[in-house]
Amino acid sequence: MKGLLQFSTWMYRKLLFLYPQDLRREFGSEIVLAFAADLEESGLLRVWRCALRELVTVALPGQASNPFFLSPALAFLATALTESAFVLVGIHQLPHLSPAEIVSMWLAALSASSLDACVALVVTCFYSRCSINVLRLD
Amino acid sequence: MEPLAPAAFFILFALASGDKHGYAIMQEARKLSDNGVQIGPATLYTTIQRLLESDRIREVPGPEGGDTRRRYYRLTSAGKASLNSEIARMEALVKKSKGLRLRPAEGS
Repeated sequence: MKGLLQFSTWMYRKLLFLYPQDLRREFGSEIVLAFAADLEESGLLRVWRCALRELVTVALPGQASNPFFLSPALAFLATALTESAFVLVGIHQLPHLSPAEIVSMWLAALSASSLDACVALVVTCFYSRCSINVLRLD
Repeated sequence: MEPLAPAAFFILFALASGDKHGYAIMQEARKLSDNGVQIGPATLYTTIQRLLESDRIREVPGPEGGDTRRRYYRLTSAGKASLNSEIARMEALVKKSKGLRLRPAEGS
């Protein structure tokens, strides 16, 4: 059980990169301390449920102005939605697909979404390094 | 004065009984709300950050022999004023609800 709690704390520490940088820098170690203490007192399920809820309610809104987070996230979401629609239509049109084929279709959709997120991140990094004068045509 | 968010209210409320570090604030907030409010670590420190910026709480040295890994916080006079104003707002709401007979009067 102790190993599981330590693993949970390690995983939560890794997830902190999703939170705004100023919050991590100022309170990162104390956030992890509070998480670890709560884990021992309140139990794994309750604490993780709260932590996952906070990813949506605290981490994502906090990153709304960070282009390095926002552009890959939007690219991932847009591709995932489009690809999911194709997969659902495929499943509807081809009712005799095996479970393995359906799983591979979802995996392909996930890979495409991840690839798009990576491309969006690279493009954002590239443009953030370019001076605005370099991009001007006149 | 604008109403306080539930997390900010319970953090100020928890600090009204004395200086505390983050996790102690979390525990006290749970106790004060009869486990009705779950403030997770990220919500706690995001709110602490905002309260520090608005001078409603301030950082103070920890007690002798306290946990040196944790920072302690104290309610400021601005924080007390916000807390009192929020409690007054709640009291006014309860008074209005009694007037509208939305809840049974005590003893009936």
